[in-house]
Amino acid sequence: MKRQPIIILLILFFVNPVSASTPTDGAFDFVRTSVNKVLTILRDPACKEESTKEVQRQKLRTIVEALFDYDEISRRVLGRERKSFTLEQMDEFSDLFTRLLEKIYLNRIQEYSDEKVIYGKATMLSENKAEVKTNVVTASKQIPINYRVVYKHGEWRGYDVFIEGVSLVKNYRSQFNKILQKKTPEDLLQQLREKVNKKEAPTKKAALSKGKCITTGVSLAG
Amino acid sequence: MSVFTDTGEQTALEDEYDEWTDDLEEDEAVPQVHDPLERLNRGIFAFNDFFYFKFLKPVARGYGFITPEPVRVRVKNFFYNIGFPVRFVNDILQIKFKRAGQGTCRFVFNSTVGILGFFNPAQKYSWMNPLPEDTGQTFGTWGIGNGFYIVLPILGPSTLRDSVGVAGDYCLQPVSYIRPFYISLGARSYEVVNKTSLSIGEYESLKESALDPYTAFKDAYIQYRKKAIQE
Repeated sequence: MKRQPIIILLILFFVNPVSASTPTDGAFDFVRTSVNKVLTILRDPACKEESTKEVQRQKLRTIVEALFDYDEISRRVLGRERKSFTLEQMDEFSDLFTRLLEKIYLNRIQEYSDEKVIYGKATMLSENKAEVKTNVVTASKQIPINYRVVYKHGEWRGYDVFIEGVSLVKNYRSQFNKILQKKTPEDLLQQLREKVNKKEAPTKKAALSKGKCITTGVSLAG
Repeated sequence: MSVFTDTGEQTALEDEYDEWTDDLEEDEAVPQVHDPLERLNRGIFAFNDFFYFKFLKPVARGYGFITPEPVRVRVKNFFYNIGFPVRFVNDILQIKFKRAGQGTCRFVFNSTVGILGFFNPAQKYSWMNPLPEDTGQTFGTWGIGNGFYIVLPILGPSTLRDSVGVAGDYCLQPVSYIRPFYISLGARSYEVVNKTSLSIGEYESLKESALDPYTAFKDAYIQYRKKAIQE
């Protein structure tokens, strides 16, 4: 009789690590690992060297591609409107929108790369979907960035990002709906092409990130 | 059923999608916020954009150049702190007594230990930082809808309900009662310039990422306010 509690404790001790890996933990780990990878690359002091810039960008692209399920996002962002798209148009849309999102997400996170990211709770939204809360803390404010992820084909993938309570997918969806009210899918694709291929003004953003690289380098050296 | 039925693969994708369109479609069943003044609103939106780039941003930049960031953060803290009556009254009107108490603790703590609210020692204690409430949110919790979308000159995106809310907030702001009037206006303008100096680039990046900036800001505002009211 006396030994039983010890045995129970032992059982709990061995069983717990396994049962601790609940779906929410999986979602949480997925988001944290991906975001940390992105931040590590962004904070790498080597990024100040112009020669490594393209390599860095490529690395980031790979991670972000694994973080988001672009096909799913592309379908969701068009909603019912996608039924007026042909297969080819849908493919091109998916491709263009992926590139646009990549650009935006990386620019956004680049702005915050020197700030602290605090990981909050993960909650299940349904049996295979979860939300992982994060907070980006800057000198003057906190920006809540929440990731919505779905578990399918044996892995977690992001399908939406909420920045300060605003869903990125919903925001684009409202714009695409508005545009498609008056214009054809081809017009929308043309607008996207122009947007994606537009050279970014290499003014303050480049200067800003350059400055940040140097700061990181100095702090690492000191 | 759809144009995608010609290949097996596409049908599979389609089915998978249809299984969980759920949350977004649900949202679309809710009536959208109407925009009967769209043409006028777009005009004001263009004016605000012009005002930001040609006036507010250069001023905020110049000010930020001569004022160190920590000072600007203190100034922002100060203005947030004296806006306490807005939050307190709206907590009460929304029957959120716990938040009213927490907000009062924050106000007392930051006004004393934080030297007139310039410092924010309450930041370390999460219970002392309830989400801020305003009059527009109070109307929202009372079940009053957005009405329709309005872009206010200089103040930016709003709705009929929130515009009335802005007037309510104005009455609850201690700064509004400073006399003569031009000093009060000067203080409010300074608050805006100070705040802008800390967030240069935010407006630009949202605008840059949009295909239709007007719709993007409209949707972002509506989503943001909906969330604020729910919380």
